[in-house]
Amino acid sequence: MEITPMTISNSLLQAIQNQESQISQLQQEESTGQRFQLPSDNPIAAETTLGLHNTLSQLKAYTQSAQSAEGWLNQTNGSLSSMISLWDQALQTATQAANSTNNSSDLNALAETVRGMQKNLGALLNTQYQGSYLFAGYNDQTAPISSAFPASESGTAWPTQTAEARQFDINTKTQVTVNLTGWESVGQNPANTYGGPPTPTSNFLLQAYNDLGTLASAITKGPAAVKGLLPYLNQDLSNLTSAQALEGGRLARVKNTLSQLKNASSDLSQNVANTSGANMAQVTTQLAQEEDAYQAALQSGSKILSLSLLNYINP
Amino acid sequence: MGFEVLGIASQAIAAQQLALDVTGNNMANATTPGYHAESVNLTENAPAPDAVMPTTLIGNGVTATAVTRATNTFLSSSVRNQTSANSYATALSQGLNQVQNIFQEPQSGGLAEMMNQFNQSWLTLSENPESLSARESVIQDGKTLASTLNSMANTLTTEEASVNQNIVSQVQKVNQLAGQIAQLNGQIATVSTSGQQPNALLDQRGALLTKLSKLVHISYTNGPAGSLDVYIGSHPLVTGEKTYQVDSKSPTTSASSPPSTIGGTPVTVPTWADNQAPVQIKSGSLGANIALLYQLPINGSQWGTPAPGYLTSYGQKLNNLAKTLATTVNTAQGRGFDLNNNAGAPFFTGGTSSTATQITAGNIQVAQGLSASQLAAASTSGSPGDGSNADALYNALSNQKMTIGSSQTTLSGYYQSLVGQVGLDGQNASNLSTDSKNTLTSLQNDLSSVTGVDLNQQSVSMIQEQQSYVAAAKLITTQQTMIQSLLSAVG
Repeated sequence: MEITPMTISNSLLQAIQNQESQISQLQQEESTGQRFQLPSDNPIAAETTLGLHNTLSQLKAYTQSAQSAEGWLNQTNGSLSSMISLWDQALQTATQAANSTNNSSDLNALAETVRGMQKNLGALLNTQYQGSYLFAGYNDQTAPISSAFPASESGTAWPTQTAEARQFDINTKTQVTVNLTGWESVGQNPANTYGGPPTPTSNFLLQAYNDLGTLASAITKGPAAVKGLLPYLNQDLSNLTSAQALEGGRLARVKNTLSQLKNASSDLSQNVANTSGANMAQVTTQLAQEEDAYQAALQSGSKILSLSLLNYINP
Repeated sequence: MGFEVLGIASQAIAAQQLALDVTGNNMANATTPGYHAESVNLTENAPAPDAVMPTTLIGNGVTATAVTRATNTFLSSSVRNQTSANSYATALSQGLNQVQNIFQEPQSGGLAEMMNQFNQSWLTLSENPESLSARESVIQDGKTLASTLNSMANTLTTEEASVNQNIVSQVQKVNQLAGQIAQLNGQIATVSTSGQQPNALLDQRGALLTKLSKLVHISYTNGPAGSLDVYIGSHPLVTGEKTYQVDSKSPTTSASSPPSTIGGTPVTVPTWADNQAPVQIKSGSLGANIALLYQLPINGSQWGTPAPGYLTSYGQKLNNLAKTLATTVNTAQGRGFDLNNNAGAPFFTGGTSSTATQITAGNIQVAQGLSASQLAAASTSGSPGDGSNADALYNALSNQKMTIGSSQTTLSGYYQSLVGQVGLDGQNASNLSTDSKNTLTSLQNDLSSVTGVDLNQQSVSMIQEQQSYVAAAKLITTQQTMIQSLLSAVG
């Protein structure tokens, strides 16, 4: 086979161009730390990384969501704790009023104390978090307990639907309810409620509020009326405690999910690094090899290109 | 003593001079593209009876009979076929490389990130349905997402327009080259019939054929008087001195008109000017530009059902994505209630229209005048604290599988597979380009080995020819000395 100058220069150029493109790719990997710059550099890795980024970004959103759910639940829990301790005082007062040793002025004072407690409970039920009333369901811009008493389900901003649960997505297809509307099933029994005014309700928060009002008027009526009310007051306390346990359970779930999300994020970030990150040791070694080969090609090329028999004949 | 020796010497000098001229010309053209090495055919003259011994035939020197051009039809044709294949792969790879930047993912500000941001703004809204800032951020993220889609679609459209322009200009080049080849056919016929060797013209025509192969795959056969007939598919492009023009405009009169748009993208379809039949373009850079825009099966003189090419299919997929996104958001808006207790207004529109079918990646935008309070976060009327509709929309946008184009996938999954597709197409084209370039170089080396100029060999020839020339000249001086010594002996 005859080797013409065109053959040598074509082959040399092709070899050099191939090496240059390899070097350019390796240099890009080294300088960016990424295995690919364009999807065509490594389509599979690009698609996988995009999917991982997508999931990672969802996890971040769920983490934020779970954190704000945690805020809601903590706030609700705090309010419930205050209500329970307030209820302890109310029960003490009721027990005291059930004694037949109180005179009418004592009873008036006790009734006044209970009215004060009812106002406190009303304030607790009107607790706001981030501009929303915690216990108001979807109508959260209006205070659930208005100044009017007795409060009833109708005519106030009190949530009337059992479905008014604010649900936060804390993971894929995992939702947690962050608010209490009073309609949750915590053991309340409508048949068990005190029959007098206001209208009996199965909303345990509203019932508790109304029962305090009933207690205040019962105290003024005498010990017998108060004694009859005691089982209902105990039921209210039990409702509130159950509600706190319910919130506690939700909070624990959110905290667990948060820690799962954190672990998953960390695993995914590792995956992204493994898929898209350049293997520096390998890249550096390959680059050094390619550089050597490139230099060799250039040197041999520059020597051979200028040579032919014409350099040696002298006709 | 005869004078035959002088005749032999003078013929030898003339022949070697000619051989040296040819060698010189070869060396001068050692790097000329398309040049084929030439060689002198030296033929021994017919022997004649010697004057002294009439029965003995004595050699009668050398004559240069012809200057021939090295050729190898098989290799030339292989190189041209491979040139077409390589041009196709290179042009395809260039075209696809330019769109890789549009789909450079994952990157900050890329479509994937914007989609996530938009989805998550609905999630935030679902948790704070009354917050005007959460509402405003949904609108802003929607605008950013729409403008990202717009800019991707615009870049693709610009790329498609430039590919269309390429098709038009390359068809013009094919016509120009055909004209030049036809002209050379005429000149070659004139020179050949006068008994001369039209080597330079043949080289020129060969170079033009190679240029033509870069644009489109051709076949050719030898015609009368050294002319060459060139075909694209089965239709002639050049026969002798006649050329057949290729039109780059879509004919409107013919009943079997090719389509002027594919999936809404204007395309240029080359047709034969004489019978309006489709041109069977298989390879070459013209073939690559066509493949970027459309696939059009050809049955004889009829066009089959058009299918989108690489760029147009990416555009269609982006449109599908935009359409599904708009439909999902608008439907969810319609299902829910805004802060004013009204059913939600359409969120995305396509230009002036909110009809889903008219929304494309190029025209999608957030409805003009849509205010933050008009976002339908609530599922029920009169529930400002209800974010369940926004939450349902978030889940639909980020996790729900839906029918997009012909696939059943999530919005982000659809975009991921589009990015993967763009990457794979680019990688394949780039690999094809490298492979075909390697094959072409190897074939060119083979051809160059047969028809090219080897400087070492030419140097050897040069020395041989010089020495033969010197020897012939020496023969003349020797003969002269002999005659002079004879004359002086006589005189």
